Amino acid sequence: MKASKFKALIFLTGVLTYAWIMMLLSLMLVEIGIMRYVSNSTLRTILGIGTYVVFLGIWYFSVKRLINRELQELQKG
Amino acid sequence: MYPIVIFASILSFTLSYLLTPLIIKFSASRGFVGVDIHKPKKPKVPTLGGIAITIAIVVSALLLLPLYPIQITTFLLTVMIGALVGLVDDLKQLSGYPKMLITVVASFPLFIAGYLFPSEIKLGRPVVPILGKLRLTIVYWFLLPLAIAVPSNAVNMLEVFNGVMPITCGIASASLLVSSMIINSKIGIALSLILLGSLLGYLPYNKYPAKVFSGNVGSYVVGAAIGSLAIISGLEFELIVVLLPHILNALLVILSVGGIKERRSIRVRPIIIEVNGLLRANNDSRAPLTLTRVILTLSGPLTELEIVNVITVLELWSAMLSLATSLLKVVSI
Repeated sequence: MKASKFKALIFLTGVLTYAWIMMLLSLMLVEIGIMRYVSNSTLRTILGIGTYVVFLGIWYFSVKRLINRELQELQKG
Repeated sequence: MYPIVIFASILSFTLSYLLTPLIIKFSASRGFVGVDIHKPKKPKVPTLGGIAITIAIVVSALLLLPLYPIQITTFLLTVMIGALVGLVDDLKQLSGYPKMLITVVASFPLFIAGYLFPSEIKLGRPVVPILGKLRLTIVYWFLLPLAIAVPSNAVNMLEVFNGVMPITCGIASASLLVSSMIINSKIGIALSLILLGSLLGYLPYNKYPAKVFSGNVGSYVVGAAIGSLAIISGLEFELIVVLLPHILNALLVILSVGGIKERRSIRVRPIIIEVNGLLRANNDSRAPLTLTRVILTLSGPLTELEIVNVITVLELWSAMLSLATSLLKVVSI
């Protein structure tokens, strides 16, 4: 296998694993943090949904930043 | 396990394998053909192969109707709405947002069945690793419409190379099959086996070099089937994990083109086909970001078959993560 193809595979499997870990962390934060300490209310719903959205955003934008950096480096090269 | 479930799976494989050549002849004779843009000679390939998959799934699932009447009816309604949306899109070419909204309708059977038969279709309390049952009392109902719309559209968006749909969705079904075994969901085992059978029967015709394209009908049916079987079997979290490559690709495309747009309406292509048949990433900043463009950017030019192999490895990795999720679930319970 070409080294560059291997690099692509390692990078993308890392991105997928990162997504999996972020999902578990967001669930744990919502269930253990928000659900336990905030009583059943609209605030709790907003905090819960907000946490999922923030974690999705962190994952997506950090991945996109990494991809764009690779793209720019290759374009310079 | 009931012998009829094994029989339904074999029937699904056989129907898909035998019907696809007939669909190829029908599509070619009626002019339902698409250009295989990733080949240097740009051959025309019959489309609508997904009809064979649809028939195989529907007929085989009907066999199991007496065993699981509520679950199978819900599954079939979801799949048939998916098939209808895909077929209309193949014939009339729907634009991005209407297509996404119509696929939301495919989740209605799940809502109705969950409301009318809560002991048969258990909705609202998905089980996740470490934490056990979640208290998604409100959020779940807002996310449920996406359970069919996201898999259907995400599978459709990644289906750009020969064999990618049956390979990745076959791996996803196999993974959901093992997950169903781990959590002991009989309906999950039955539906995964049927889906897997139909995809394996179809694969010889769609693999590189493809003799037939699935069409939107194929990707929408398979996406709807995966989403529906995961919800019915209580494998919501596994569904998201096993479709991560599809979801990543969809997110990259949607956010880089600024919304849900029809593939044909995107003017700058993400990849370029060189004269020797190799595919390379388009360096134009206006080109949409796709999973394939990322692969080609990182690896350099590849053949179509090599790209399919990379996507297959990514799907296998997601399947591993999905299985780890199911095992963690059992351990935590």
